[in-house]
Amino acid sequence: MRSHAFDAFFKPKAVAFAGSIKPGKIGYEIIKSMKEGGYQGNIYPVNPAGGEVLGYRVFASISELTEDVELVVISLPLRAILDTIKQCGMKGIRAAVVISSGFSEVGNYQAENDLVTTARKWEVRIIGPNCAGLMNPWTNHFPSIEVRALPGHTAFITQSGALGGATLALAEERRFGFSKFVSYGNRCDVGDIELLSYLADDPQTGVIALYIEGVDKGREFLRAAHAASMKKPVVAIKSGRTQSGTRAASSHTGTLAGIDQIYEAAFRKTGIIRVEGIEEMFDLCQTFSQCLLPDGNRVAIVSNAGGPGILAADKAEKLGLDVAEPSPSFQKNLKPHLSPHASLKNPIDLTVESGYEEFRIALESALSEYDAAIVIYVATPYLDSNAIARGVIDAAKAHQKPIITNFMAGRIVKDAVRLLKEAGLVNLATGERCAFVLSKLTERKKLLGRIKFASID
Amino acid sequence: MHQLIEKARREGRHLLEPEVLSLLEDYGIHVPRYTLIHNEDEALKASRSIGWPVVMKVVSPDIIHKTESGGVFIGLQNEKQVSEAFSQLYALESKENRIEGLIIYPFQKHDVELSVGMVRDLQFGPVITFGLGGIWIEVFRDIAYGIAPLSHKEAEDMLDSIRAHSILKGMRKRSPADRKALCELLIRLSQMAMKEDAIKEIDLNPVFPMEKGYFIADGRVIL
Repeated sequence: MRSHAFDAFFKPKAVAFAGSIKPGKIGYEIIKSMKEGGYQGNIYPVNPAGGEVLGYRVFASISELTEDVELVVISLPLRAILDTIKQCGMKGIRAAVVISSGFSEVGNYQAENDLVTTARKWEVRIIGPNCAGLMNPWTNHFPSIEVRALPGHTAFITQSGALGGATLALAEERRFGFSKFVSYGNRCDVGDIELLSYLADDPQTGVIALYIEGVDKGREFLRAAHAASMKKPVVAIKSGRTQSGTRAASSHTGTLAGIDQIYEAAFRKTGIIRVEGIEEMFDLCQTFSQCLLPDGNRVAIVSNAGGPGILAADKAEKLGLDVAEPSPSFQKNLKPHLSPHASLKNPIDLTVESGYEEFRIALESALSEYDAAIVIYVATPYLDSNAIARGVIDAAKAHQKPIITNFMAGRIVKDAVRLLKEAGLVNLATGERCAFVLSKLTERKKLLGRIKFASID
Repeated sequence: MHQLIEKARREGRHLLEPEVLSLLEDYGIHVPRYTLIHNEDEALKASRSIGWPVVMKVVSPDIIHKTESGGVFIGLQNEKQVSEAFSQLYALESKENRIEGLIIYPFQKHDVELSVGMVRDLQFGPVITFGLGGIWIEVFRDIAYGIAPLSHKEAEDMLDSIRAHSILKGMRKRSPADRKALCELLIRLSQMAMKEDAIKEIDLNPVFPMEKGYFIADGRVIL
């Protein structure tokens, strides 16, 4: 029994592909990606030419398909699409991804209206048109032309197919995984509102990331976004260009109210956390899916070098974190364990004369009196970076508090960084980025307390 | 739809100031005690009853920028000044500048000017604004935005999120603003904006924060 109509999109028993089966064409490439991705269900290419492609029998039409098909991926020319939707409806297939373009994005509103009307009539839900498809890496389901995503806990909903594709390519390089990926294109039917609601209840999804150019049905968006961010963090990149909010204002305040301020207000009301770009989104989504939220905003910075520690502290304070001095008892207890030159303020500078034990004991003590910690380790070739990583990992085990590490840099810390990642720790390229993600963890904690009092009609 | 809005729509104009104040009142927003007058006798009688000094402004569907057009007299101290202001205000009348009367209300001493307003966004609907008022709104653009309807927590949040928020706490011997009343103002305005779809924009500017309550010194409602 289906728990949700959208399961047909993300967990179909079998998928049909209506489009070209010539190598290099979108239809063919999607089938190839499904096959290479290891999809477990049946794959049915549909093309009047018939024959065989990539080892699959090609069906001449939708009506010839077996009953297990739940999703059709369409990359047909415009003129063939409506009839295919009708065939889907008659066959009882309730979900279609329309990759094809040539609709409202080029001013062809008539074609898009016809698509919507036909889909409603035959009770077929549509993602697209003019989209890059979707993915569920947890079921090896890749009906898309983009780089196949690794499994992970971030669901990514994107209004731009191209940006979605670029994000997946960057994510692969970073070994960043996704629970779901959806490019909804022109949003003629299924859009961010319903996807937010679906993914808010998706067990594989720990964080929802959005790329938004402009919303439609703003009030419904507010409700869906608020309900979703009560359940899990929702992170958004909002690009500036949109026509939807332009209006002629005659009052002073009216003139000053730019579309960006209004989106900020919408995000604030619903608890959406805004980020500036893809890098921040990755950093944050990774942190949200791996770290618990801190109880407060007191952060300890543990480092073996002065400069990078101070930079991180400056950034942390600027972002509203409290880089408070440790207590006298902390200093007294820790002093005998560290190098005589160690500085027991915050940042806690262990100096270059420190290894496994110094890092472990300093971090463990810091976590007893702070809400979170940033660990900065600047390697030199003669230091045992792996041992220091183990020191951090062992200290982390003793506490359920967020720890963000910054082991730098490059080749000499490669193995150590791998150890940290295997232990479930987030390691970022600079201390400033560590401070950024920690500030957003505390923001999330605060906004959970705040948005439950938001008035959503 | 409120009957005053219906009437203004029928007549193809925005709300006149007395209508704005009356509309706000109907939504539980405190407005100054005001009187609409049409002749000099009424002006004098109203001023005496309100108490000195008074403010007198032109009420016209055509004169949008009242101050710039010489349509506002503040701090009138006596009957002579009221009579003079009366003549000067009525001298503005012409075919293009119809005058529907003059509005008189008490002059309120103040040092901080705020603005409270609403803009209706095509996607998100009514958005409430709060910030520094008077000319400072254009200088500093220090405005908080909140999507209606507002809860008490959201209204408080807006007060706290302008850069000049410490001005509400009462600096240098000034008494602090009545935060609860300002929140109430934002909330009620948001409720009014949710209900009255025909309103495109509201601009209450300046609004003076008081030790108790607030004082709306000018208001515009754009349909």
